[in-house]
Amino acid sequence: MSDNHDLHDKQISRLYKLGSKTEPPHHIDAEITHAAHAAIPGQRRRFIRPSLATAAVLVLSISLVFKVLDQEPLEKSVMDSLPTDQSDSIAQPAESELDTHVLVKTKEKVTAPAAVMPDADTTRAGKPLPQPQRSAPKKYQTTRPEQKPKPPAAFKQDDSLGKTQTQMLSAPIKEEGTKLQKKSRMQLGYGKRLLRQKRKSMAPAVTASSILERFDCKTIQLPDSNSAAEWHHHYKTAMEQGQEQYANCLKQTYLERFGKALPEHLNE
Amino acid sequence: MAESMNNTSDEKLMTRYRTGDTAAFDSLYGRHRGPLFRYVQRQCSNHAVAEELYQDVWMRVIRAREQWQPGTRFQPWLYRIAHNRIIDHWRAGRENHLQIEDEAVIPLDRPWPDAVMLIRECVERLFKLLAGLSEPQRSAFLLKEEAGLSLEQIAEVTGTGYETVKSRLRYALRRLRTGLEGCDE
Repeated sequence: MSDNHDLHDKQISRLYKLGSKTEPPHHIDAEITHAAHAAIPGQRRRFIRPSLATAAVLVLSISLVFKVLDQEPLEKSVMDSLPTDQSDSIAQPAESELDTHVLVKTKEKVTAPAAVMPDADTTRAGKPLPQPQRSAPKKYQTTRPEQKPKPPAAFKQDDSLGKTQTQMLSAPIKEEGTKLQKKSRMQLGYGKRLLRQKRKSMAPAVTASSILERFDCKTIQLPDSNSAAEWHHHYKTAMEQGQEQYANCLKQTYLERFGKALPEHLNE
Repeated sequence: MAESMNNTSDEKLMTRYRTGDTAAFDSLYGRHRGPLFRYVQRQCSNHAVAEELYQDVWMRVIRAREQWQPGTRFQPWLYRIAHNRIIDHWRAGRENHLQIEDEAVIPLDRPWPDAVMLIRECVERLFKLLAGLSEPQRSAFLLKEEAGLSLEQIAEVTGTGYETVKSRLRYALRRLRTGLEGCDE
């Protein structure tokens, strides 16, 4: 401190201050302050930081809302569409959520039973049952044109029809699907409940042949007469009407009751 | 806001500027623009070069803002940057020596009345003498008179020891006093 005092010359300092009035030009001041402001984007940062945080929160919120909405309407749509048009409610979510590969696989599993759904409506309307095994391959063919549908002949056999339909129904459950498939199926909400309904709606068509095989002859109305001609008349009529199972029952019951076979041709 | 800036230390202003407060820089710049400009100007005979160096010093301050430690004093840091810049300029050989010429003398801002012509003459003589000092002696004198730094701070800025600064200042004042004889009245 004393050194500072010793090295201080008041006269020289006074003279120096008298001559030291110059200042930097204003344009240099402006350039420097501009550079200082430009170097610090702090004010912009202050705006950006909260807006980024807000945007992040918004994105998360929106995605969460969409996720929730994504599940609820789908389940609702499936539930709502069940009594009316189930094929649409099944096919649409699959198209929107799955990629093409998954879509094909899903349709492979879903559209076949879905094609049977209109049958349930027509059944309720009292119309004759159309052949479900024909409508399923048609739908199947439209969704997968690159693959040839199985020949309808394979469906004519009762056993093969039963097996095929059963496989088509049980395939989505048993078959190993991708996680996305499983997830989408769960999200769609048509898992067990829907499959159960599909089985129900398909049951008459699928099990028709097995019912024919296990036709309970005790439940049918038999001729009261012991006349072979009358029995034969019933038999012939049943055959003409295509009621083969009834005709077989007549033959079987006649054999059991009279100890001899019902003659297929009577000499009239 | 402006009043609070006036009461704020250089170090706090610099800290605020580092965190993005450009108004703090404006206040800081307003405090040091004159003395720093004159410090640079006294070291250069060319006015344009002085302006260039002065601007470059502030640009370095702006760029080096992150390197400034809040615990250190701002003013020595600022003048060290300026000092180094001037040394670089001298070492680059762009200006070997300050020419003690009439053009090198800084003109006074306003016309002085005849009564104080002697004072004006003494001032002009002082700047001539100042320009004739060696760079270390001149730097030490300017850092003390213009920036108001202590000997310790001058030693810190110039990268020398305390005793060296003291010696330089003593020699500088002796030469100036000798050259300013007759200006005592």
